[in-house]
Amino acid sequence: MSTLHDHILTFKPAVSLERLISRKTLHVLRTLFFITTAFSGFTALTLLFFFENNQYDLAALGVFLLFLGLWLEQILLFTYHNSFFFHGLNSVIGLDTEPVEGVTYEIAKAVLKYPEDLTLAFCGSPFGSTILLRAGVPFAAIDTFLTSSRRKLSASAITIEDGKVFTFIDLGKHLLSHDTDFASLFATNGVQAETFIGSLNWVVRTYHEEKRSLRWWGKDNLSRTQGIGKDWTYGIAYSLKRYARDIRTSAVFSTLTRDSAYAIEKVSEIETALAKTKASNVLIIGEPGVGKIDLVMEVKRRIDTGASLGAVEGKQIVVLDTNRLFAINKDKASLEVALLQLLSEAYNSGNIIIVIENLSTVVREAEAMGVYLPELIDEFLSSPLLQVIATDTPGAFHTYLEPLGGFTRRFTEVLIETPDLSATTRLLQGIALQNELRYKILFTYGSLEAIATAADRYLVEGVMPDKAVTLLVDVASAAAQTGTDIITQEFVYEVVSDKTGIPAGPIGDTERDLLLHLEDQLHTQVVGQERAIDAIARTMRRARAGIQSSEKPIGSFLFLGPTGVGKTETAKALAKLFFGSEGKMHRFDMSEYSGGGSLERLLGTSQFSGALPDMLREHPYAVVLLDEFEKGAREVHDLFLQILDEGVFTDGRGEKVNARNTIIIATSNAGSQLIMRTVEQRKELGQLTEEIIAHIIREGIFRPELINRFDSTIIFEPLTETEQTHIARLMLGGLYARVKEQGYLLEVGDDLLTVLVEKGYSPEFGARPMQRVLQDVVEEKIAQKIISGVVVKGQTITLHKDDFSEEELAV
Amino acid sequence: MIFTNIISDYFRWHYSKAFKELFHVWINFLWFITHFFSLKELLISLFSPWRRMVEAKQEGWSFEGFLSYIIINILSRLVGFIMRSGVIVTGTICLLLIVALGLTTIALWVVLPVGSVIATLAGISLLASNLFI
Repeated sequence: MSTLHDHILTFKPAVSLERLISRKTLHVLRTLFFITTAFSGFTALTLLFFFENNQYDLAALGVFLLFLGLWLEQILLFTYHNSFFFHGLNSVIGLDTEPVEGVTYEIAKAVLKYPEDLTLAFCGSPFGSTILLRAGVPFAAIDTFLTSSRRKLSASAITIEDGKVFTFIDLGKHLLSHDTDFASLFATNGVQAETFIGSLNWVVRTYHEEKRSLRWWGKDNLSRTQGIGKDWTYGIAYSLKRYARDIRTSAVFSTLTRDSAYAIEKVSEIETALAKTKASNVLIIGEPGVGKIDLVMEVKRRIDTGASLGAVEGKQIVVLDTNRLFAINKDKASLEVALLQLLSEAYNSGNIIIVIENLSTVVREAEAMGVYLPELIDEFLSSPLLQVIATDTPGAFHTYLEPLGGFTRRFTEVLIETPDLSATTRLLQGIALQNELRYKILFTYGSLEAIATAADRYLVEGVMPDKAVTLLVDVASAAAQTGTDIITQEFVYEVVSDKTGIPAGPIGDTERDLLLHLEDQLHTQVVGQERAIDAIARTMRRARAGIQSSEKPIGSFLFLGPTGVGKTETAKALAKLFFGSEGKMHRFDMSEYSGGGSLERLLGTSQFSGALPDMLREHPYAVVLLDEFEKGAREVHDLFLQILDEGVFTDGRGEKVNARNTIIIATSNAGSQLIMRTVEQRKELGQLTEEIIAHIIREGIFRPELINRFDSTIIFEPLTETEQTHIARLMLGGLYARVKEQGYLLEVGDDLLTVLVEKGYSPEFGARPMQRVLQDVVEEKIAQKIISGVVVKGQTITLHKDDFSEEELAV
Repeated sequence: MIFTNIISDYFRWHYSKAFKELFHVWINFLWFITHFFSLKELLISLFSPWRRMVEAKQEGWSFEGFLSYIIINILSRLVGFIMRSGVIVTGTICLLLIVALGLTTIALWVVLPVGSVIATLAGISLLASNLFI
């Protein structure tokens, strides 16, 4: 084993050469010398052979020889430099079969400058500064760090394993684990070690890819050219060509980047299935936008460049334009003829792989025209001479294709899972680079992580990674509009908040204020219920601080208590505070979902859409109020077990519905009698909650697992008389405003208020009767006074107990 | 000093590692020619019908049908043979050219450093003697 220092020394002359003349200059000189050589050679030959006794012929020959020599020297120097410049590249990108060891050119170049201070070598190199910038470390912080007194690591201290190439990624990781000062640079700037490593991989891998494309003489680059005559053994499918479409029109170009092990695994799965001797058809199942066609494109690329399995070599992939097929053939007979013709031709060609997108839709469309596709194409599917790659979504596959049994068995199923957040971040890297060039901006690695996370968490429409890609483009154009150069996490979350209307990402000042004083804010609308409101506020703070799982709704509560004590009012207040208006509260009366067929009505079927998915698609950011939850059918309760746990569910059409951006509140009167009794006995609330939950479980109203799925079970206590008076005052406040709108002023005396509270107070119905009492007593009286003309506009209507007869108060 | 280092390291590289690298590039080009002209595939299918253009066998035997089947089959194979052998010949010529080019480059490589310097000096001396005298 040798040290890093030993290895970099071998690069010293090549690095010195580059310092004397850059690669770019060498390249320009080489081109210039070549042109001059060619031109002077031609001139010399012309003068020598066509103009005898010419005095310039030897001079022209001299120019030719001079530049030929210089050109050859440039080639030699460039080749010499290339030898070092591309050293270890194949090994790093996984192309070399022979073991290569040493360091990459970039490492040598950086470390040769400061061999005794690797951290300075890293940070001072163009690579290092780009990596740190992408990681989100400000330049000023790097300068301060480098000038501070710190421990220095020497290149002699690093040993390089045999058969390994030491890259910038290795240097970055080494510094992170061995230089504590360097590691603390990230901590002090709020950058996580993972973000630095992510940025390291991103920058270095992108550079290796660029370098790879420069080395055109490599087998990988040469193999990109499609050979001639490969398909001459096969026939031509003229009819199929009529209905064929360019594969690139369906690709999302986003998924499964080249270094993705997952993509390699899936492509090999598809190839293996295609190489089977019988029924070698493939059905790729995955959510829309997940990149199913991108995988097919990769298979095509491998076939074209001779990198595929032997059995698939020479195959031709053709995407069937089903829209065109159905548009041209409008009746059963012509559709059947067209299908049979194109399939027969493709069959006779012997090397065609037909790609049919959204197979179930095609089957159903054909069925609507009276053509039963599974039967029609079954004969072709069973033959190895014609192959089909079909795609579909998991929901549609389960609903429509699985029941077809035999037809589905003709296909090998390849399931594409939605990529996880780290895979999405990796995939965003390439797209970020394209947008950087277009908008003259720079994405930090943290911003890509934020895009992946926010798209998954807050964007309801679409699937990952497609929606992450869309968000990235939105963020880039927003940055261009606002003149933002460097895109940070915070900027991404700002864009997301603007897009969705809900607070996302780090908590801002206004929101911090709201969360810290949530109890007070809720109390402006809800009277009393101190303990309930405390519990809600605590849960909401936990949710917003990001401590809670992001794969659940924002918050979920089970409100228990008698009617009219403020359960719905609390839900409205939460809707107003978190989503901007009371209108963001959507109520489901669960008594409507108590009988048979409740689940179908709530979730929908293939024939009609369900109430819950409809509501969530239209209002993904909302409070969902499940009123009288105990009345819901057992299967409905089971559905909510899943929603509360995962935040997503599948509707009747097999499509995923996201409920992660909602606050779910279930209310119930269950145990109200017990609540009232225990409150009368003045028991401790903690004990009361336990007793009530035990009672509810004992009575079989809710199962324990359902109660446990809620973030909190909140007990709403019956209102006290003081609270009732407060409510009456709040309600009168509303009436004052309405009367004022009519041009009058209103004053209600305390003596009348006491009577109103007495009349409107009901331990059983809470504050509900109060509204009726106000209507029947006060509003009636005002109406009488206005109509009879006793008061004129601008006057004050003053009401006291004495203004009412016994009869009028006996409501 | 730097210049001397570069020159001495250059010559060390030129007469050792460079040969191995040249050989690798040469092999890559040879592979490319066989891949580009599909030499293996075309040789295997040299006598196959052109684009599978053959007359389908008709049910029942008739002299006319048999004759048309044979003629079209032979014609299709003939076209296929002509096309394929054309590409194979072109490919083989290219392959031979690359072989020759590779051998020449490796042979020239030995004298190239000296050759290029001689060319430069010869050029300068020719220029000097013809322009300034």
